[in-house]
Amino acid sequence: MPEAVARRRSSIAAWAFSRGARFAADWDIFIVVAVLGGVFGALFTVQPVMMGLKMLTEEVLAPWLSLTLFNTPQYTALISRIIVEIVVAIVVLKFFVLSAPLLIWLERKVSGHIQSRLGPMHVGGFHGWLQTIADGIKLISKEDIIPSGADKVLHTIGPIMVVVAAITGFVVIPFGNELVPRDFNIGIFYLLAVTSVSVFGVVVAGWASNNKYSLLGGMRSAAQLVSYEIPRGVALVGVIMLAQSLQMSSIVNQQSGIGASEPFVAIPYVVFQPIAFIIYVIASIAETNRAPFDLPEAESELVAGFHTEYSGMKFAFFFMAEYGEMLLFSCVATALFLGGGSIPFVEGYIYAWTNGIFESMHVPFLIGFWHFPVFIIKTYVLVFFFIWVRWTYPRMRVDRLMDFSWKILVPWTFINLIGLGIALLPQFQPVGIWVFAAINWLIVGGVLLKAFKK
Amino acid sequence: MSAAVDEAKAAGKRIKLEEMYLNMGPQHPSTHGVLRLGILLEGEVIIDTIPDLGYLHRGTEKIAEDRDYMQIIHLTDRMDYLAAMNNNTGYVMVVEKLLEQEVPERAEYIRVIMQELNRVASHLLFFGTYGVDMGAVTPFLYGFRERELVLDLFEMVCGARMTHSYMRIGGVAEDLPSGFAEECKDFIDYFLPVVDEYDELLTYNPIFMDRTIGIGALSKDAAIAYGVTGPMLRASGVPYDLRKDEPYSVYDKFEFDVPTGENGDCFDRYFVRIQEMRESCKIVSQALDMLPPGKHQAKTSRIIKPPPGEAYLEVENPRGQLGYYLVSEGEPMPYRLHIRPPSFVNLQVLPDLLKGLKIGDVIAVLGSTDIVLGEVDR
Repeated sequence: MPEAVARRRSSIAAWAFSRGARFAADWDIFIVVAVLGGVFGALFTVQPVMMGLKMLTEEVLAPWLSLTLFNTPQYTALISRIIVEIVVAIVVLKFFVLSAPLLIWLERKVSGHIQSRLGPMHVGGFHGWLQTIADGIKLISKEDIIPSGADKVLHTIGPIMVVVAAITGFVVIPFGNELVPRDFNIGIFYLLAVTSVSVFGVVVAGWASNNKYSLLGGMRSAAQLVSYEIPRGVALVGVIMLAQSLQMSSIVNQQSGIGASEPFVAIPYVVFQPIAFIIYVIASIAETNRAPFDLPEAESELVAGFHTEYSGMKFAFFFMAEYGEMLLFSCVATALFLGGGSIPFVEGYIYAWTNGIFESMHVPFLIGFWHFPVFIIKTYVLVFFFIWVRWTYPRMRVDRLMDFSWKILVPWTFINLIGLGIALLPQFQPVGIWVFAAINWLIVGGVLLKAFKK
Repeated sequence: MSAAVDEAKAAGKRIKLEEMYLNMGPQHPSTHGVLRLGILLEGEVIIDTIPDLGYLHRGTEKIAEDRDYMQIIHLTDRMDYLAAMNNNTGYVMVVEKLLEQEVPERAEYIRVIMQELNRVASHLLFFGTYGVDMGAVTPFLYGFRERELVLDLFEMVCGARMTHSYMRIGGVAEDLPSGFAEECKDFIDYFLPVVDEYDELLTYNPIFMDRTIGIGALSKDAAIAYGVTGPMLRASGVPYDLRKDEPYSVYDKFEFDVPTGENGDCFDRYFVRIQEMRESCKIVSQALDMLPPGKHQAKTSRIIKPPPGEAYLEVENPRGQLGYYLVSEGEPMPYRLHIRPPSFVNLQVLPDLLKGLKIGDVIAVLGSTDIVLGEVDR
């Protein structure tokens, strides 16, 4: 490209961007109100729209298709399912893609206020809400540098593997009642398998960069992720034992009481499994490479760890994957321990009550419309906790990190598992599980008391 | 790892090991300036460290031979740029020693206030950067927030925030402005509870203690043998502080403690500095109460020509003992000015401290020595 043309083109892009930014700054209040309103509205409409769509395809589209194009019923069923699932896939992808910039903005604001500063304040006018978008544009337009001596193919594959592992995990998340993109009967198993793929991406990226810091970062990361995979996986086994199922929707329904013959007090599994929940959250922080476990990208030691040699959009992929994983692990914790989109303890009664009303009003797709927003609120409380921890604690040392996983978390998960197994024996029912929960909470209270005592 | 290797070797197994050479710096986020470390690694274990200096060498000592005595003051600002007041004081004191110049008492008190405030500012920056080295970013901003208030006080006094050049031969450049004492007392009242907050945030954090206690321990004998001074020496358990043991200026009139450590590890080096901030505040508030009226500057000749001779003088800087050796031949410019920089001497210990530690500890140890490369290279 001739220089003059390049300059002109870049100046046009700069002009367009500055005009856009100025427009956003001028109308910021309206835009923010519209965006917030849209997001808030979308939260409450996702569930009804999806259920309505399902009903529409099953009751209207399928008969119509069978009349016109296909006579065989298998094809009709297949096509209507494909349509529904394409929409679901788009919803999931949008959830990931829209959440990453929001989370990055949130992290910058929260960290700013923790550190007695304001965080981004200018881009877009209202509290810098466009900051991540502007950063994204900057990263996309940056040159993609592959260092000489690096393995070009693997250098490209690394970030893709990481980001794909983060996205595909969302497939089994039960966002709400019947709002599960793909409700495998081995949901938890699938989740654990898919999320551990990101280790390979990190190792590949570290190795392919041809940089000693990257290599050290990648190796550290491999050791760390593999050792924290075990307590994380074993902590979930307790939930599987309680629910006697690997299917995400069935686990959530057993905590909320949906599908039960009569309403009962909905108890989230965190009541029975507080130790497992805490271990799961700690291991999740380690899995997402965030402080205090951010050794693979320890800035003060390894420059930027495995992504030292990455620039532009490839770097943004690592960044997005980190936030995507954070969101994913929060979603999983919400679904498995906090009862998903249900309102704790009273869900069974509310559900039964509203069910009757909506049935009589002939709007069955409104049933459980609060599930998605409640799920999101629970998830973001956990996300806030992740951010809070990151900006409070120093980094652990490598050997201590390993000690912590193998000598503290792993034994405790197994103790918890054995205890739960004993408590679930038929001869101890129905008191056993409550005694077990009480012991669990006593241990948690003791640890907390010890931690906060001066 | 090396223990396992030794066992395997003792069992007669052949193990081929490859050492890795890791170049850390001069562009690296946490070498605190342009220090380059060549590190020989065996896995993640350090077997040798070679510090490489000179990236910030400006030839201060040589330039000083070409400037008159007043002009050298601003050169000393730029050595340890985090403690410019202390550097200034040391230099003007060595010239005064050569001149046998009397200094008004008020000026001595002002000098003490400035030095101690600068010690607080310097240790605050250490607190912040050490937090970042340990992976906690938040203390960094807290440290800078409080340091800003000290810099505001300096700005009030002399107009500059970093390179003050406030001291003059025979006194200080200007008297304290009106309202300074109140501002300074307000700062101390605000600051002392904040130090307790730091302790809760970082010092007694289990992860932080885990990373620093027992790491890079420097024994008493080794510290003395290497000539280590300042908080590093005191962390090793030697209660040696020039302000107490060989009081210069008016330091003998104040009551303060010399905090010491026991093991000389990273935590002790850190904690000695935190305690020193409290002691400095004590000295400042005493000095403000005792501040005598009078002139801030003695009468000196317009062109300073010390009689032929030589003088050596050390002052207690935030980083250790800063020594000036000045030789005069009766000319308006010194014949020779040699500087003993505390950071340079303290940095010598680094390869010894790092041997056998893990790569993650490099930063913990390097940060705890609290060097300023401007002073190491001069």
